[in-house]
Amino acid sequence: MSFSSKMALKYIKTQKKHNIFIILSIASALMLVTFIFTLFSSFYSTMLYNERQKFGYHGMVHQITLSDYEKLTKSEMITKSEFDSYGPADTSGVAYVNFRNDIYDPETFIREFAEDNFEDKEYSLSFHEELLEYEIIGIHAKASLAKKLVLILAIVLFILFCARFVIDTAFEISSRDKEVQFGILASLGASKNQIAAIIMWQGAFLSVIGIPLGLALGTAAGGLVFSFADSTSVISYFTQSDRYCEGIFSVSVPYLIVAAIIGFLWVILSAYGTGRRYSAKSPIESIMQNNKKIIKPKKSRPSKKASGKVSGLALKNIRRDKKSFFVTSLALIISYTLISLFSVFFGIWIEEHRLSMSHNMLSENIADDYRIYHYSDDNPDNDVEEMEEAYRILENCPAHLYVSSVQRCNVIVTKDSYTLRETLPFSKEYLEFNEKVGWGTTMRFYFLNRQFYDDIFAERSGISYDELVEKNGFVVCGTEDVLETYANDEKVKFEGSPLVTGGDSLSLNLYDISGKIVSTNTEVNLLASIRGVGKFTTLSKSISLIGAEDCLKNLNGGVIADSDGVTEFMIGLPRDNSVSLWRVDKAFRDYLKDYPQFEIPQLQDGDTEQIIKTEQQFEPVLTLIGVVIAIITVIAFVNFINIISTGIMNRRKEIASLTSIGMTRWQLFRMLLTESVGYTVTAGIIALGIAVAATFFMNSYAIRMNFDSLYFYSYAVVPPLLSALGGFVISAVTILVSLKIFDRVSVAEEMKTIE
Amino acid sequence: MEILKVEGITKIFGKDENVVTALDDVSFTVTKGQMVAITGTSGAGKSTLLHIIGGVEKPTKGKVFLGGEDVFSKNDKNLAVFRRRQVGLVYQFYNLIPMLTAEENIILPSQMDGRRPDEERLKKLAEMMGISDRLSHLPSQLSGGQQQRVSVCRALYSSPMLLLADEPTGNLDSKNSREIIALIRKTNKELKQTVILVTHDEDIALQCDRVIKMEDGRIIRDEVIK
Repeated sequence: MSFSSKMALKYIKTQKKHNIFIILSIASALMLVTFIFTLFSSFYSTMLYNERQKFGYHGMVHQITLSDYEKLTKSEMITKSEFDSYGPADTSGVAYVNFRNDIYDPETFIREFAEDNFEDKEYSLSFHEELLEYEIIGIHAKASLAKKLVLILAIVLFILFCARFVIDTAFEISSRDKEVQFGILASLGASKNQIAAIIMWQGAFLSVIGIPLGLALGTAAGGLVFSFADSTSVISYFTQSDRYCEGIFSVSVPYLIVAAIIGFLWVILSAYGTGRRYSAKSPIESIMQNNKKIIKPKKSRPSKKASGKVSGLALKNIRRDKKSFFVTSLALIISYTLISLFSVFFGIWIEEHRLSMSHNMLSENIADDYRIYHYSDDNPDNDVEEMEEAYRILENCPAHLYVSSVQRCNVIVTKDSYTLRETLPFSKEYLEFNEKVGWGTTMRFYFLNRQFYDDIFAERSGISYDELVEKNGFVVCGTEDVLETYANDEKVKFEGSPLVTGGDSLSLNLYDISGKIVSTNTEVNLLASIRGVGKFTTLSKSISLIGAEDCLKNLNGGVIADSDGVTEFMIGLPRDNSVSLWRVDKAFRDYLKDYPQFEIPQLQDGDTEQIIKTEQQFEPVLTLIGVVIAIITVIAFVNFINIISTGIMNRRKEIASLTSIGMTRWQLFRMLLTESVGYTVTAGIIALGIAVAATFFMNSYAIRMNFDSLYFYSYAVVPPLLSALGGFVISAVTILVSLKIFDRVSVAEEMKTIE
Repeated sequence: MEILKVEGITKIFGKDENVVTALDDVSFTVTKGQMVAITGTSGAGKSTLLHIIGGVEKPTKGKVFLGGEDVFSKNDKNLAVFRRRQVGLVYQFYNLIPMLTAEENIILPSQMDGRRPDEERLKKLAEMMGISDRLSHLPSQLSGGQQQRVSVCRALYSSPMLLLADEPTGNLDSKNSREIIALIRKTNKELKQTVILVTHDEDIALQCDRVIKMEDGRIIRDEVIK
């Protein structure tokens, strides 16, 4: 064995506490990385599996003849295919096909192939975009994957940075205690590389325990979180499916190997970096524990009155060791930011989960309506009876449940709106669009009544009804691409109608062959816009009161609206009230108590049971999230405790000197606490900035991903402030404990020991 | 035969108004087998001079030649090898590695070299220092005098050209002080070991062949005693 490895083993044998700390640091860093990898792997496997289960082919060629199909199957780019004729005697049908992984663009391929080979060119194509994307087939899938990879990479890099920092801090703390011994070794002739190698070997030996432990814990944590996710409807949300999706927990061996390699690399790099730092010090300075730092008098800063007091002394201490201040603050900033981001991330997740549950409840409670609305076998536009049935069920639907799924919707649906459609000036365009898109589109109309607008909306929004109409009129709004198509099209501009008093909306949803909404991109809303008053922006690609945001902000409790005859209503509530169905119900009733003309729907027994069941189902998820955040918090604070206690231990002589000249324990405590406040306040402020900025981007991304809950932005303000407060409390306790330990040894002995 | 040549060594700590000149153009030579004492008041620059000679501190200006080789022309790695093989350092506070036994502490330099321990040399030195029965003990199980003996053993183990002792008796009682100085003297006589010893004790200095007195970073007297 080499000198360095022998020394490393000696240190490992004699410094058990340090070993445990380093192992835990390595394990927690690896756990973080493995946890993310495991979740990613499991969600990916789940999405892939469910897409395959849903429909196992990449694409379909409609109206293809059998002979053309046979030609197509001979192409080397087709790996699997099936033909389904339209009828027993029909030679044409649908061809289901799968492509080779290296195909450039499936659509171009089919078109070119058809151009060259098909006898009948009257065919149409559709693709299973999700499956293509998950299997990374085709240029579009690759481009989409590249975009997602950038985000994933950013998250992974951030996690890796945090992991590296945790390991770095562990080695720094462990090595600081050995600084004198490194000095002795250097003075005896140990080279810089040998000293660095001691720490590297130490890291390598401890990795043997730390890395497998981290991998196991990370996998277990990932499995636990995923199993909870699987037991709820979160997975269905991520797979964007309306039905239950089976979760596939996947432990990816390549990911584990990558995590282990990264972990080992981080350990070695951290150990090497620490080793180089310590070996670069002068042996004598290390032995004397004297870095010969000259503290220059600050001419530009006249000494303040406080300088004679303990707070002044604390500030001087912070100023004299800027590196320590920087390292400690950075550790805290990272910890606070991590805690904050995880809190917000889980907050969004909880919100999504609640929403998806209430959405599911809606579908369970009024399944018929839901079926008709989304999955009608016939074109609902042509089936008045079916539509009327849907509206009848909607009328009986507890409004808040519906609101939970729609969010912020101040609109109403009545059966009148169905017949009304025909009278609209843009119905022709709508019908054309409907024709182009195919069946499966639905039309909804939303109204804003003058009387109620004046009663409620106008007062809170500060904009009168007349002003609203005068300034704005009605515009087509929706997602950017649709907006571009329609916004400047005079034909679809709606200037009002005798039957529509306030606003109007047209909603078009596209469905794929499985009945799933392909994309909200196809949704078009015609809403009362307050263009010129509020900003003309979209919060999301799905339904929202575009342009009326400022009004909504002023409402603070919700909006109520009706149609002619006031048959039913809906209410939009702030997120805090909408997360709990019970609270929604209460808020809803409280809100409407001044309007006795409304009949408030009663919860049915079945609803009550369902609500209780749903909320109970959520408890373990909340517990788990609490545990995850608690783990991160514990790691962060253990790190902080180590930094503070090591800092105090390094200054034992100085503290003993101060005590010997009459500083009381209380004064010492205040001095050290003031230093810690410096760290926690600085870190808290910076973490607050980072967390708010990071959540802004997180929100923006989530909005693009159509997270319903993010109609309400969620910024990480409370978590960093709470973390800073936690840091302060922890530092106070650590200082008290450290001083208590000092009390056991007399000042003289303490100074002698240091000598 | 000249073994050590110190040529115009200057050492400055700090910058600007905080400049401290620890050594100011110090020059002298030492011949093989000589035992030289460096004395002076606190802050005279004795320890700094010793550390520079031992290669653990770099001078601001000047050169040190040991066995004809310019010490500070070496790169970091070779300087470490120089410390390992050419000089042996003894400190006031022993500076033993606490988790290594006395024996392991002594053979550290050879381990750094990747060499097998020289059992014979270890035995001889341990007998000479009177610590043969203490080799398996940890530093915490040894008295101050014993720890300093181990420290001297370690310094001599690699048969260095130069033994450098920085106040080796500063932390010991008078009995142990006498014994340690006697041992160093013995190595000087029996092993022809060249020794430079920093002390502020006039009695110890007078036991050496030559005394160099320093003040404010300069040599103010250099006299041969015997």
